[in-house]
Amino acid sequence: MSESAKISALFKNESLSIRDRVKNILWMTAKETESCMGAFYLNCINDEGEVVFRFIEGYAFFTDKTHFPEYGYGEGLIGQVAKDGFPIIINNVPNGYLKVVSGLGQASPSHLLIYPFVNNAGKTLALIELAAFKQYDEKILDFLKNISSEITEALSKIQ
Amino acid sequence: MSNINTKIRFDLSVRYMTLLGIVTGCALVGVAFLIKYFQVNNGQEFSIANALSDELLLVICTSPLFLAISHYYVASYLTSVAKKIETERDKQILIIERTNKFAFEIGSGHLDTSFEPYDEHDELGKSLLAMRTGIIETVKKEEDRNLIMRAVAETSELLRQHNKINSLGEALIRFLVKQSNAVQSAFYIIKHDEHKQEDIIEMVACYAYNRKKHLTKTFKPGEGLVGQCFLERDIIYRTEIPDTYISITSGLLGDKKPSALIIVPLITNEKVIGILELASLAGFSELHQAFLREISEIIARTIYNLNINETTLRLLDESRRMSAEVDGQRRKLLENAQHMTITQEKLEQTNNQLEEKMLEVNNAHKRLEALLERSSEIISIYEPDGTIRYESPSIKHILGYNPNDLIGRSEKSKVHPDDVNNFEKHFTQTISHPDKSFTLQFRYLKKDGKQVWIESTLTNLLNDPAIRGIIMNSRDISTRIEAEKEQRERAKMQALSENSTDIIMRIDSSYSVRYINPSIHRYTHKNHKEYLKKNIRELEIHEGVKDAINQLLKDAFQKHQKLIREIEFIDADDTLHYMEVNAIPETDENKVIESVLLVMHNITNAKISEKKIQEKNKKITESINYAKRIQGSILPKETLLKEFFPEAFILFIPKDIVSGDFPFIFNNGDWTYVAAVDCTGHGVPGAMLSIIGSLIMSEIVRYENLSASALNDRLHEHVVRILRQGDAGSENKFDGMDIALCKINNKTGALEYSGAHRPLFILRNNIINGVLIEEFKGDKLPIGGVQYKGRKAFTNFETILNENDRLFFFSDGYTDQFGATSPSKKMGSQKVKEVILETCNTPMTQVAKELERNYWDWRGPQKQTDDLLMIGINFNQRN
Repeated sequence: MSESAKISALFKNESLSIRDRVKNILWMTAKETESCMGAFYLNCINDEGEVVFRFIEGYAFFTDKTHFPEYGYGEGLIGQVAKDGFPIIINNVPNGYLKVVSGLGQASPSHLLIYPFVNNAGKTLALIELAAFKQYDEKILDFLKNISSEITEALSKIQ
Repeated sequence: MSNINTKIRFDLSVRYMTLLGIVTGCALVGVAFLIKYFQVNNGQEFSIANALSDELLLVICTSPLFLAISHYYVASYLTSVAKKIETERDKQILIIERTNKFAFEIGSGHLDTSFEPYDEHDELGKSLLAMRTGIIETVKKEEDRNLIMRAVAETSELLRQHNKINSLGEALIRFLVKQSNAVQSAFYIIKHDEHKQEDIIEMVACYAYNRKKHLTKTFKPGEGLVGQCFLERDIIYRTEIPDTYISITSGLLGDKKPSALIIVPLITNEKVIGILELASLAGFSELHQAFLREISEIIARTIYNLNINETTLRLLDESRRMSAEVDGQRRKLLENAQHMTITQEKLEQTNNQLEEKMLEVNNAHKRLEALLERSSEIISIYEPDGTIRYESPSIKHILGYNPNDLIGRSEKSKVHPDDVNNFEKHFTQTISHPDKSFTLQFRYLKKDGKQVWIESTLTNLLNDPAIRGIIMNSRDISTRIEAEKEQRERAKMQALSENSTDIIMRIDSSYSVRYINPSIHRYTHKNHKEYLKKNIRELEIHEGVKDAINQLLKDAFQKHQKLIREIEFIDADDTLHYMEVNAIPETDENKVIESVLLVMHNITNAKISEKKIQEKNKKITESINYAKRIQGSILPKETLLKEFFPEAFILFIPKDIVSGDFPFIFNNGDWTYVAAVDCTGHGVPGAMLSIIGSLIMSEIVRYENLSASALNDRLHEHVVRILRQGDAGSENKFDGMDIALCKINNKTGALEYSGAHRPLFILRNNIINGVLIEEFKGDKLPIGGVQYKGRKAFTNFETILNENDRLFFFSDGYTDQFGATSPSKKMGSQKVKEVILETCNTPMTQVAKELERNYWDWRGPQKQTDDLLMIGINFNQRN
């Protein structure tokens, strides 16, 4: 069983909550790609009735659990990718965009990947954002593409 | 050498082979010529030229050449092949020798010997090379394993040497940095925040180029890579971390910056209890990772045990300290207990004394209570606002209330409404006058609902610190008030009696006069005081009077009841007085007659008047009786009726001596008139009218044979005429008569009936209809009386009587009689019908008796309403 098939199978496991399933996907993907940070955003309707992509789970990404970042269509990189429906890889992320932290120090990862999960109708249902010190190779895109259809299918069922 | 030999060998063999070819060729040619020769001998001439002309022979002649050439080439080829095989063999021997040598080298453990396969076909060499690689790997693995085991052993040794987390951490990371080729390291412990109910990852040690820095850095789960590692519970290994990452710097390393980061969770019992972070310049080999993974468990277990040990030590310490404290406290408690015992003893003594005193006080209190309870006085204490604070127990037997019924309330509701104002006035007055007393009387409602008089003394003791209230001493003075009232009443009675015209005297049981009023003077001309305290026998009054009084007193004393008698009292002037004497026995509290009160009222005048009336009455009665006699002689008797109707009766009960009702009977051949007439009024006036009516009717029927109605019409005209009721201004408007008039033919049974306000009942008894009563109601017209225009004539009812039909007609005296059981209800005619029906099978005499009995049963002791006349006839045809 390939890694992507394993991940897809994990996501389809309906006995887990959506948050746990997202967490599994994110963590495994981050591990697979040796990312230092990661975040998963889900298509939600906020209090004003607008469609936003809300942070629901992070990898080495710390939030105080009271406020989760959210982005509208076209807002920031996340919003842009959600709007376009195409993944982007940025290799020279400016200092301070993100910060990877451990006890020994902290630094901004210079490589960023944002991948949208788009359903057949062209609607972006969720996004995964990954950051690493190492450059991402193109294989990662194939990997994400492989799991994409499973994830959008499962997300459609939930929404 | 062998090569050269081989070559020579091969060269020779080529030469031999070529020579062999030539020889073989020549031989072949010779054979061919022989064959040709023999052929010629047989017929032909042999010649060379001829022979040469044969083409085949010609070709054969070239064969030695061809054979020589062909042999040469074949031999050359074979020789070259042989040469090749020879060379190959030599090479193979060489390779085997090399490989053998290499194999020997491997066998003797010289794995680093350089060896290249001879060529690509050297499979054995390749295999050996692969084998060597395998062996090298195995050896390396073995070495790695050994390395790890050694490192693990060293780590374990290190871990054993420390029993404090901080020092352990320091030592551990120093060791690990060395072991794993790292340059920097940090060590974290997971702590649990009890307040926030969350885990905190706290850095307890860090190593940076042998230089310690006390960093106190904490992470929350999920925060940064460390936090992520805590959540993920797996090693995070990241390479190519930028130069700027590491914040701990040192000059020693110069430009070199670590580029790889590894974060290892320390897990035991499924729980992350610590985290190790290491940074390396070159990165961490798999060996290092494996090593770190291996020791992570050991470290985790050690820390876990250490934590438990620390906790145990701390708890032990605490328990020691606590037991020491407990010891101290116990000592203190013992001391306190001793003190307490002493105090207790003192307290007991004091208590005993106190109890004695309490008992005394209690007894005193009980004494007081008992006194108060039996006191005839109620003591109450009031608050200034009028509520009761205290009531003495004596209230229970004086007024019936329990003190608790009243305490805390106001007494006003129990005070008589007329006395409330007075009560409040006194109360207010008392409050405004300290240390002064006021007395008042008022009516008060007892618990049993009776009213009593209370006299209360109100004293203001608001200034007395022991009381601070209004004291009220109350007594029930009802008896006194009653006595006073009685006294007043008696005085009034005395006055009444002194001024009365009646003789009033009280005689005691020894018949001596206790009291007599002055009225006696009028009869005996003696002062009433002369009679006092004298026996009734000694009184100076007429002997007969004394006897009568004596007898009366005797009866009164004996009969225990009030007696009234008339006595004849002859006074000092010998004048006779009639006295009505009331003898009223007077009893003491034991109901024994103490005395008799005699009240003599002079009724002489009344007596005389009464006698006169009696005389007059007698005269009137006599005259009325006389009138009755006259009336009786005029009015027909039952015997007359029976002459015409043998079974008939007249029931006649006058209200007075003379009657307003009268029966009328007149016979004219076959026809007989029978009537029951009721004149207005009764007694003498009724009788006078009855005589008028009777005479008029007799006069009318004597000369004319009139129908019943015509007779009534005529009677009416005569009555109006005689009583002058037709005249203007006549005062006699109401007199007249009601009449029930039958005209009966004795032979045919023909009946005519005319009634003025009166009905006729005919009881018929025949086979077809059974027993029934026919009723002719009569006209609602009077005979005589008020005249008005348009008055109708009487109706004449006609019918035929059968044998034994019964006729009943009567004045209203029977049916209008009020009953004994229902004084306002008249009997009504229904009752008459019932009696008639009930007695339909009995003789007429019996019917009459039943009707009379029914009348008396109904009337009982009631006064007779009016004269009563009823006539009943049982019709019997006469032949």
